[in-house]
Amino acid sequence: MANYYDELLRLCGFEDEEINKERFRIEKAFQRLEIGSQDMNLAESWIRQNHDLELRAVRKLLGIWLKELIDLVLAKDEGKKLVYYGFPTIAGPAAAIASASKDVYCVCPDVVLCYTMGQIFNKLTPILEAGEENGLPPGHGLCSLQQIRVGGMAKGIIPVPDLVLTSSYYCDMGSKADELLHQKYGHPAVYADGSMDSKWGEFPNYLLQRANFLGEELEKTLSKASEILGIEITTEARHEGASRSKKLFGALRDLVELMKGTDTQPLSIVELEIARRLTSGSVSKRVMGDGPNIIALLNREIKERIKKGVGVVENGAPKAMILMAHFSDPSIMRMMENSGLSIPVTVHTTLASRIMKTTPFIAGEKLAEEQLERGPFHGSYGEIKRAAEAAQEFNVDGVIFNYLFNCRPIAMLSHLLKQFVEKQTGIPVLSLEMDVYDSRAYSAAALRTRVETFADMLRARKASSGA
Amino acid sequence: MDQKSLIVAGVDIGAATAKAVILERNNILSFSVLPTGYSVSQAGESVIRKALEKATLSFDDVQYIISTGYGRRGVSFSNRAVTEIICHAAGVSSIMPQARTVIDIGGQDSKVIRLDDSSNVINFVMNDKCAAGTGRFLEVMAGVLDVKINDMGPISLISKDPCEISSTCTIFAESEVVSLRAEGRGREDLLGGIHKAMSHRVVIMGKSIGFRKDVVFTGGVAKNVGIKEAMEDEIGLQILIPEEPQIMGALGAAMVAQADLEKLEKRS
Amino acid sequence: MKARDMLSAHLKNRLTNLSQAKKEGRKIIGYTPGGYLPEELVLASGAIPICLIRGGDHSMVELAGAYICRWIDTFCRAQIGYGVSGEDPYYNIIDLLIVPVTDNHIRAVSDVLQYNTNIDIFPFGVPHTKDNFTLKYYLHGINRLKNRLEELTGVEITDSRLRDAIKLCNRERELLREISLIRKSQPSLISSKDFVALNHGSLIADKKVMVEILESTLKDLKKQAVVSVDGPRVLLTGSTLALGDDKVIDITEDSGGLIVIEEFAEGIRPYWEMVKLNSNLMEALADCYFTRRIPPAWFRPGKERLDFLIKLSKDFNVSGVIWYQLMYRESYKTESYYFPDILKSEAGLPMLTVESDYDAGEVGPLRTRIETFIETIRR
Repeated sequence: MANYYDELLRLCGFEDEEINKERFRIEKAFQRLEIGSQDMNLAESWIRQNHDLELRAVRKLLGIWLKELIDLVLAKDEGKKLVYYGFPTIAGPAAAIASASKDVYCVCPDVVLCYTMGQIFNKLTPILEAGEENGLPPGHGLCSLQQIRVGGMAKGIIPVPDLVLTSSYYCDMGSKADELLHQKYGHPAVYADGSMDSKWGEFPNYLLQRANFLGEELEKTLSKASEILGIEITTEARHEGASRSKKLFGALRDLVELMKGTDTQPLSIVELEIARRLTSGSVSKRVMGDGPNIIALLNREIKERIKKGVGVVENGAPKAMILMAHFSDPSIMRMMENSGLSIPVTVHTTLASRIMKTTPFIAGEKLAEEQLERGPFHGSYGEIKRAAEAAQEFNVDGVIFNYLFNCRPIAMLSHLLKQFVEKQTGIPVLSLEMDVYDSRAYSAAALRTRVETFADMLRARKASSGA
Repeated sequence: MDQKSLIVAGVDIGAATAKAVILERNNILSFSVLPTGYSVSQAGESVIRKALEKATLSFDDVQYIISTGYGRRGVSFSNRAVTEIICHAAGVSSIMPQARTVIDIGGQDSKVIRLDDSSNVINFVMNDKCAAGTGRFLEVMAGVLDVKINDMGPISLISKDPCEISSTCTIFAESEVVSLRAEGRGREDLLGGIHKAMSHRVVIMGKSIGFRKDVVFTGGVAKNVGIKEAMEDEIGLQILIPEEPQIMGALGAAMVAQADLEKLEKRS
Repeated sequence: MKARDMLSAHLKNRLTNLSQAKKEGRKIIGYTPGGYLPEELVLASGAIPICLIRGGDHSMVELAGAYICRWIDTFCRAQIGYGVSGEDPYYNIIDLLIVPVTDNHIRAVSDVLQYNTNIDIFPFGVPHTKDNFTLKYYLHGINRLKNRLEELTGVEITDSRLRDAIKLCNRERELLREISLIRKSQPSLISSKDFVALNHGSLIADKKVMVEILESTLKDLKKQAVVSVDGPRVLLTGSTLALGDDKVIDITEDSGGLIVIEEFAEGIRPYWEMVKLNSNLMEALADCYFTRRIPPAWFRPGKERLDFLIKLSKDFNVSGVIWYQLMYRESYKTESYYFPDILKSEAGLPMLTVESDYDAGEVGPLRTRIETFIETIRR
């Protein structure tokens, strides 16, 4: 039997017994995803080129994403109750739901597609095009993550869910896209609404009523989910969901601390983000259970590298922080690192690593507070202030504010963030227009000149200040 | 010969034209400009060969080569590729050390670059997605008005009542100019409006990083006196233009080559 | 028409009047459009409400390019342009700018102006869903607003003052509604352009003067003889119909289309609902402005508004719908994809979608589309 996928799966950390046991499911999923042997060959060279396969943990991480993809594609075939949650995530309620019933699979399908069809197979374009043809056309600055969701469903790659949990309190696009899909496929949607009406300078303060409002909305999503899915979400389930999340974020925090504490960069930002984005993709038992263990393995492997002084960029390279890493195309950050920049962490990851220290996802109000304290969901000033703080905390030489042109809350900061952060911290900022889910228009080649120039600027600054 | 030659070269492969500068100890020995054509690597080879001929040198005489421009990575014989932003800044500051802002408008893109007192790049903005605000805009309009590109600037200055061109898109602006022409508006006024509109695009882009004197204008479009004056009006600062504005990128690349070579010599 | 002249003259002198009022110690309160600001509160504090509804001018949109990237709604970028340039005298004269934060585009106006200007800005949130919690939050917001207005003006917004203001605003809405309903049976009596001018006027004029103008207009309309008129009847809907953005209405009416009813989130004053004079006036305001109001597209789900558009189409007996939106307003863009099918199946009507970025070069292509559409629905 010519198993055209065995080699790729091994490269993605699958053990032979796993492959043998799951052959039927794997082949069924790949068939639906229209992945053939040609695609496998391309994928193998793509991941060899772009991923640090030397690290066993990286292979395992790629594997976790692939396993989630297979579960996602086959969820309805296998009789699961399927819940899609929205990004920016309201992963808290999703985690509680996932803990409440083993028959429910809670996933963010577009993020999973990015980290598999993009990062592994480099075959996201057909899905994006399907999204463009089915409601979210190009030329209007519409969110490509939503294009992936719409396209995935239009192509029948991802199933129609039993329920969609939409966060309606950050962007306007996510909820409208879910509405579009509800219109077409008829599945119920629950909107967790909120309002970003903070004043400039208000952060970190916020009105109690605003937290109450968001908290009540999040509780509403849980009770409606319970009703629609026909499951009971007990206090135990909430606690379990919270403690699982805590484990995962704890491992992530250790990873971020490691990256902070060393002058060399032992791990590419591409791989760091593959680990970090697990919670944005799925709250399954695998992600919450195996995830922390794999990140712990990653931490051990990195510690070895640090001891040996092994880095992925040259020593003395200027350190830069980016806002968030590209979800689907690893070549973008590779290009940035190859232009001589050390990128130890992203702004959003530093924010994520802070949570779960004291705030359990037990009640809506607590989750609401966490969201407001994090920064981006508080308002523009909150997001900008947190970026400035992160840059200073990590003592970076520069910040690349790669703003998503098609994400309104972030794009509106295109000029503001650079002006504020430069004034506040004296750290140079490159305001780089980009799309972190779709690299067709904003490819590595298109962005290269700006990034290389910025790297040159930082090098010159570093040289003259050191002299 | 005892003294080691310090002959370096800079090659700038732009979308429309390729430029090369041969430099020895800060002196320009020769330079050349050729259309880029279909092949970036061939353009690089041709343009450096032409410059070497002019300086009666051979390829082996050159110790170090830097390539820049959109095609910089296709130049196989260069030691390093450096972005055109860094190179334009280096080129301009080598002949005008008091430059603090560089406005570069080429065939297909435009940039505004800010320098500090040591001539380091400290800020920049770039437009490479939209034809308006680049040389392409003027090319299109030259076609519409049946005028030579080199004549556009001087004619635009004659205008006493420049038209309002309110379309930002080159395609729409083309239609708008055709309509205005049909209404009987004169060529000077049409050109006056076109130059104002183009200058406005670039100035708005640059506004977010600010203009500081001395402001230097480079790139192919710098030869257009109409754009220069329109920008001066809008920015409120005098604009200086080097004698050969088109070769500033290649000159800067050669300056970077010189600096690289000096660093290498120091190490050995 | 005498009333039309009255309105023109009044608006011409508006800035002078406002300057005068300011000298006399009255406060001028600007606000972003969208219909979620209860003007009653401003009036009850003795201040003068002015909606910032100017648009259509691309130079303002271009200016905004130095403060924000391109991918934000055109009207909102124009407001940023007006605010930072000092080119709009209304922006210069206001003492406070209230921003009911509806979607991210309006929020961008608030954030960018707060950072780049000295304008005193008061944002308060308008949620995007209708349930108990969202109503509660909206009510909390207008209560905060009430406190701010009292603080600014030094005037207590008593129940009695608020009641009077509500009666005045109700009267204005009632008159607009009556005039609007006349167009159902006799659309030729007042063109869309003139009706929209009344709307825009109402957003800037002195309230009492506006009520007089509307009463005069209504009286004149009732006196006029019925003239039967040809021409396909059109419902015009979309995101923002700014003062100064006339092209779509002009082109449609020039092509022989009869726009009999308009439905816009920004630019048309919501006039279908009146504030009920309950015992709790703040709750009454929230009930009218939030709960009973037909929401714009950034409400999710958007079904209520789409159902309302079907109802309007049937009630006003239209032959087609023109959906006119500005670039990058994603809530409208998304709905415009699936609404035509719903419109077709529930009302048997066709829909034309047109867009604008306030660029002068669009007029030609717009004309082509609209003229063609009017021709096809003429039969």
